[in-house]
Amino acid sequence: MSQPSLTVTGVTKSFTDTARPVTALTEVNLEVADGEFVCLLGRSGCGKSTLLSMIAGLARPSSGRIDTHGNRVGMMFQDANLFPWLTVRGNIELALRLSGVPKAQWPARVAELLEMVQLPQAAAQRPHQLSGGMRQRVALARALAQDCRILLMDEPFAALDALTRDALHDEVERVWAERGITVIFVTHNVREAARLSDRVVVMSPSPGRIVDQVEIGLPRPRRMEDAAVAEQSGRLRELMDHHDHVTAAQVLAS
Amino acid sequence: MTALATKAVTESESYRPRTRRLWDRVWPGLLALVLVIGAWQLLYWSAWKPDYVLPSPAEVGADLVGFLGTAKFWLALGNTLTRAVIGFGLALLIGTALGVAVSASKVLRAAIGSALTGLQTMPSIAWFPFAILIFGLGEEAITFVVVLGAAPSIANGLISGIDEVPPPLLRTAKVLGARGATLYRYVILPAALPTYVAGLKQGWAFAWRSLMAGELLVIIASKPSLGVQLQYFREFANASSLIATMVVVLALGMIFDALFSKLAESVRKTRGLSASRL
Repeated sequence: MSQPSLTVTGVTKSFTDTARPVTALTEVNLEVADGEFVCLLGRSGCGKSTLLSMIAGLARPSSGRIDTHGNRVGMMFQDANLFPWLTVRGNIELALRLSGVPKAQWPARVAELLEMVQLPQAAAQRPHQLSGGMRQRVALARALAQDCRILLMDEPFAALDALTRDALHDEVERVWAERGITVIFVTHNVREAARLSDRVVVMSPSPGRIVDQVEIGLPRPRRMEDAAVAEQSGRLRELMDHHDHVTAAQVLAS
Repeated sequence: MTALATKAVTESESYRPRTRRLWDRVWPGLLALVLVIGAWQLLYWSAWKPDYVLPSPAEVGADLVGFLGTAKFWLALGNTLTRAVIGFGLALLIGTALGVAVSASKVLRAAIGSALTGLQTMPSIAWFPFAILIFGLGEEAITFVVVLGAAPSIANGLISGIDEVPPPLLRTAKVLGARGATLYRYVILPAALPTYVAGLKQGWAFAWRSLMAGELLVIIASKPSLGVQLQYFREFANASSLIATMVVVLALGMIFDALFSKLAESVRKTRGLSASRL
C-alpha cells in the first residue's frame, strides 16, 4: 500500500451514558491509502457512521487511535445541512472563511467550486429553492471549499431518487479523480458500494466491527447497470449475509 | 427545475392584480373595525349609560382628530415613544447579553435560567411600588420596570432559539472548522434568529404594557405623556377624550406589533419557513 492518509488502530467506542452501556464499535483497525475510494458497508447498527464521526473529530474513541496524518477532513451527511439563512454563495464563502482563505480569493474560488459541481447559475439561490440533488451538490462544493484531502460521506445520497443518485455518483467519481482526494463513503447499499469503491470494508453489528474487506478491481468509469458491478454486489450481499448468520449463531450460542 | 418553480410562483401571484391583493389583506381588519364601532353605536343608542360616561363613536372620532392639531398631544406622544424606545433598547441589550451568557454557561443556566422564566410570569405592575421606593417618582422607575418586563422575554427567545439549533447544522459547522466565538457568530446566532425575533415581539408587548402602567402610576408633573393624558381626562370626566387617548395607545401597540410580525415574516421567508406562498 502506498503512503496512508488515514490509520485507525484498535478503536473501540462504547456509550456508557445510556441506560445499558452499548458497545458501538470494537477493535477496529483500518488503513486507507492516499487517493483511495473506500466504502464502509453494513446494515444499520454496525457502527459505520460512528466510525465516520470519530474520523471527522466529532466524537472521541473510547480507546484506540485515529491518525489522519495531518490531512484536512471534510464531511457530507445524508442531509445537505446547508445553512438556510445563507445563499449558495454564502454557504461556500463561510467554508472558505472558516478555512482562512483570504477574502480576495473568494469570488474566484466560489466560481470554480460551483463550476466543479455543475451549478454555476445557482450562486444567488437559497437552499430551500433547490432540489435535493442540487443541495447535495452544493454540500459537496462546500466540503471541497475546505481543501480537504479526506472526504467523509455518510450515506449522502440515501434520500435521493435513483436518477439523481446515479448522476451524483458520476459527479463524486469525477471530483475524486480530478482532485486525487481520499474518499470514505458510508452506505448500506451493496450496489452503491460496488459502483464506487476501490475497496469495500464490510462491517457487522452487535458489536460493530469490521468483518471483511473486498477489493473491487473493476475499471472506471463504471455504471450502476454494469454486469460486473451487479456481480460484485452479489458477492458483497453474500458476504454480508454470511457474517450476519455467523453473528446470529454466536448470539444464540452464548 | 428551480427556474420552473420560481416561474410558477410568480405567475400565481401576478394572477391577482396588486390592488386586489392589498384589498385581500385589508378587509378583515376593516370588518373588525366596523363590527366594533357598530356594537358601540348600538350600545350608545340604547342609552345604557349617560352621554358623558359613554360618548358616541363620532364624538370620540372628533376628539381624536382634534388631538392631531394640538402641540401638547404630540409632546405627550413623543415622550411616551421616547420612553418606549429607550426602555426597549435597554431591554434588547440586557436581554441579548443575558441570553448569550445563559446559553453558553451551564452554571449560569442553572442559576439564572429558571429565574428568567419566573421573572416573565411576574406582572410588571407589581414591580412599581418597589421601583418607586428605590428610584423615586421619576424616569428611572419607569425605565426600570419596562426593562424588567421586556428583557426576560428577549433573553428567553434567544435561549430557546440557541437550544433549538438543529444538531446536524452544528455538526456540519464543526466539521467546517467553526469553534467558540466563530461558531456563535456565523452559525448559532443566525440559526437562532427566527426564535429571537419572536422573543423581541413578545418583549415589545411586555414593554408597552409596563410603560402604560408606569405612566399611570408614576406621574411626573412637568412631563406630558399618554399615561398622564389618560389620568387627566379621567379626573376631568372627559370620557370622549379619554377613549380617544385609549385608541391612540391601542393603535400604537398594533403598529409596532405589525412591524415585528413583518420582520419575523421576512426572516422566515429567506429560510423557506414561510407558509405565505401557499
